[in-house]
Amino acid sequence: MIYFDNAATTYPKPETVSKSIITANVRYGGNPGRSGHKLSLKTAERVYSVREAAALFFGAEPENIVFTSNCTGALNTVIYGLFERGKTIITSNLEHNSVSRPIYNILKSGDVRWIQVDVHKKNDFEIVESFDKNISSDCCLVVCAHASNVTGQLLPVERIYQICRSKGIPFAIDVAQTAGVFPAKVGVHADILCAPGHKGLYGPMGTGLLVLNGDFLPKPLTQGGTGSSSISLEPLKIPPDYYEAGTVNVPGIIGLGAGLDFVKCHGISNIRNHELGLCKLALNGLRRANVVIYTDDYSKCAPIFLFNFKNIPCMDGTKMLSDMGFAVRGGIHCAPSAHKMLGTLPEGAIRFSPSIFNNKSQVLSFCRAIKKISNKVK
Amino acid sequence: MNKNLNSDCILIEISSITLAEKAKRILKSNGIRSEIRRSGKGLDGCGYQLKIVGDTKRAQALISSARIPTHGSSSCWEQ
Repeated sequence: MIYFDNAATTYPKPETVSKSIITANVRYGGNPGRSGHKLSLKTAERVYSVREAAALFFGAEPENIVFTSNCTGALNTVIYGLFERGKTIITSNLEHNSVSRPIYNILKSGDVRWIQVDVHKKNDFEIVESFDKNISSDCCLVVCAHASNVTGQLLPVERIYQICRSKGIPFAIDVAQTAGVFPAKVGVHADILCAPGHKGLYGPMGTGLLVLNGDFLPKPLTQGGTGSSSISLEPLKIPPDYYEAGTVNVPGIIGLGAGLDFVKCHGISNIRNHELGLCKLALNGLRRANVVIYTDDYSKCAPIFLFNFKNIPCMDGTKMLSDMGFAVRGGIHCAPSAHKMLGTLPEGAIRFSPSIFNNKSQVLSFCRAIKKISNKVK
Repeated sequence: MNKNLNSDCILIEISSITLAEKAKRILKSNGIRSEIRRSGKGLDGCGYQLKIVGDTKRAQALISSARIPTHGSSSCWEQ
């Protein structure tokens, strides 16, 4: 199978990642931050080394790197932990359900106001102006995707951050589609970053990161044992302990560390150029095919290519491609508002998302397969 | 058995293993040897202790300038 569903999770993982997970189970079996024996301390030291690597990657202090189970976990911590009754949360109108659903859940109790800034097909100037118009002292949080997981559109987060900073409002970004592909740093792009470990960082599934700048500390979602200040029922309000109640996913974290090393070794600009090059190749290869293309400008876009067959329902198209040996994702991609903007509801569209492991010949055979399918039903 | 205070060695209480690791690495990069131990003397019970041998004053200054919160210190006992 040729895998082009890397926006959902990257596959394959680097061999170093797979090996490190096995090593983690064999050599780092003590519970970090709990005991004083050598195995526990050795594991804690190894976990810290990943924290340090992630900190360097995202421009944070090591203690401000919080390991989560995915990007959704990090976003939920930010949204539930920073919302204030009676105040406003601002997002874009292209958000994933990992942002929209927690806000909607709060909204149901009537405790918060939600403004979705229209960014679809708007230029950076218009987007920044719209955010600026809506961000006021009434806001408790601005949170948005660095890039849409549907259209790939990149938002001018640096400039939105400048507005938030000048008004003292916390700004968090969902870097699900950009971590490992575009630069994303706390203090430059946002106050808080929420990242999956298993996409562009090439770590195992079930890993994620909440990256804080230390200025805004959301309330944690979970409470429990942290191995510190255990007599008190109040946890120590210092990261990462404050957010990491319970045993952390040591094999996942060590695997994520190997993924980060892999990305650093290849360089994010090389990865980005490679993936965008493959998207452009797919775009050119399909211009004359019987398909509708929704992503066509890669000057400000994450490496995502979205399309539909003209005469075949989306899910049938993905099934045909799967039968021909290609893994792509059809549907709504958990981001209905983005599909609403594109006019692709209720079926959605087909998303092609390459990784560093794909090559030109795979893309060309993918284009041939699409032409073959579309010619069949003309 | 006699126990003597060793002035070249201190134990610094740090609540979190992450902060203890951070302190250890800062000291190491400055040529100061330290070791992390589990401790029950920290803030509200369980925590960690950094055993520092050598230039303890400089070590404390480095930890302080890195803004790593500590919860007291004591001299090491030597047997």
